[in-house]
Amino acid sequence: MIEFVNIYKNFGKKTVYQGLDLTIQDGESLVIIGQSGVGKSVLLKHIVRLLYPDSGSVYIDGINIVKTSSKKVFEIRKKFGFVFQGGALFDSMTVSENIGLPLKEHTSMNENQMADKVAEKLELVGMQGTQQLMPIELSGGMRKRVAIARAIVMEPAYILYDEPTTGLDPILAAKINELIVDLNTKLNVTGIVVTHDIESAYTIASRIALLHDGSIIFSGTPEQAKISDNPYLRQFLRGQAEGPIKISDQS
Amino acid sequence: MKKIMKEGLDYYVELIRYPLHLIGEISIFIYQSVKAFEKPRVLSRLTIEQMFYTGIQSLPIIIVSSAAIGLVTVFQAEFQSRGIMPKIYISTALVKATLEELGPLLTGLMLSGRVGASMSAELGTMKVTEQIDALAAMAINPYRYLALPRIIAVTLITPMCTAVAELTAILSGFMLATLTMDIPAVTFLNGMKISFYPVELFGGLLKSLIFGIIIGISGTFSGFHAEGGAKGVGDSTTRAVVAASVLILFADYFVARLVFK
Repeated sequence: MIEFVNIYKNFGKKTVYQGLDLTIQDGESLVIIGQSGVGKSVLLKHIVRLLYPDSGSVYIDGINIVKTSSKKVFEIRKKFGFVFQGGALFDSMTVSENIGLPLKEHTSMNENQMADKVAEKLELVGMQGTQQLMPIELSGGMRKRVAIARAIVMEPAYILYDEPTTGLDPILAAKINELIVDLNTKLNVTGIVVTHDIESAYTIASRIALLHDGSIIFSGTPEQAKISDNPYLRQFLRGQAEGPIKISDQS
Repeated sequence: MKKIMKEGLDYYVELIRYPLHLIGEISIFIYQSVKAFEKPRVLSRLTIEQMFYTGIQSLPIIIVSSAAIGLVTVFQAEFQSRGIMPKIYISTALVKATLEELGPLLTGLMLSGRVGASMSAELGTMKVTEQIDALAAMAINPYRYLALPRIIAVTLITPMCTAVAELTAILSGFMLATLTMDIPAVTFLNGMKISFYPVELFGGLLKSLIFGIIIGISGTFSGFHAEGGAKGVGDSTTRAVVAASVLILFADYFVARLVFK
């Protein structure tokens, strides 16, 4: 279980969170939606302590990651797979080396075992046979799928997805959504997805949370979201320019 | 009036705050890098890879530039001392200048431009494309995996490149002197021996070791702290080269004061 308790965060003069509270239960697929620049990706980075809150606590399975030692944080991070927005594949490594790196660093597998594991994960994301390609040779959708394969190679308990469908055409986006749902079911993991793609949110989520003005202002199932009379949520889901959400300079 | 005074005051506060902030950040960076010293087998593999990569990358430019330095030193020594000093001292001047100053300094500056810049650009690109975050997120310490091997590699490779540079400069000077200045090889070699002291050689290599540390830290620090897109990477690369070059020049003076008393 992941718990954010009373999180405050500022970047210079910009306030990102003002007392944010959020609990993510094991096994759920939480989709966090919100305007651009509202702090959705920042939230994911707080979970694995790539960023620190100014105050407040982030509990991962009961351990406050904000206060724990660096050594312990590295142990906790092994429970996570993180799919970054642009894939964040290592340019100087092949697809196989990218996916195999966590195995090489954290396990005692030999080359053959690693190669088998890499092939297995590539097959799961529909990218079999691409082991020797370099990231530069991959299209946007392929990069995302390789990034997902890398995120799941250590068989994590949690997978964090940062804008997994951004920049993809609708068909490819639908494929990625399917893949995320499929993986969550097959691997029985807790998925936390940050997106502003409403279609993705409806497809993936078992729960949707709306982040606005530094806190979570709605949390519920996709069905509850569809019939909610929360004016912020309605404006966001319908993509209306007019409404309580004002377009800020940061958006 | 009040506004102008406030802006002026803010400017000076920032002028003091920024260097202090930078010193703090660099200290934390060095601490994190030193603390990341673990898994010696993996670290040595990564360091050797980096040494090979930076060494191969740098040798051609080091050889070409140090050959030129050898030529110009001998040419100037002969020109300036013509009719004043016996020719035997031309090689003395060459050896002293090369071992104490020109070899380490030229190599340090060349490596800061070649290796420091490439290190900073590579790590800066990794930073802005979230590759460094990706490493950390998969529980791999980026200081251990990226920073430390590069710092150690460039620290070790700089004295090696300096030795190559010194040898090349002396050889090129020898060729110029013996082939075009009618200086017999024996005279040249005797001139080299006249005032050769091992402390000059080791002092020069000590300098280059310190230059290597400077290049490694400034290159990796700038890369790790790159922000924004392509411009951020460009800025961080420029900062790495400028900072390393200035620090090398000052370190050169202070080590010279310390060693060559």
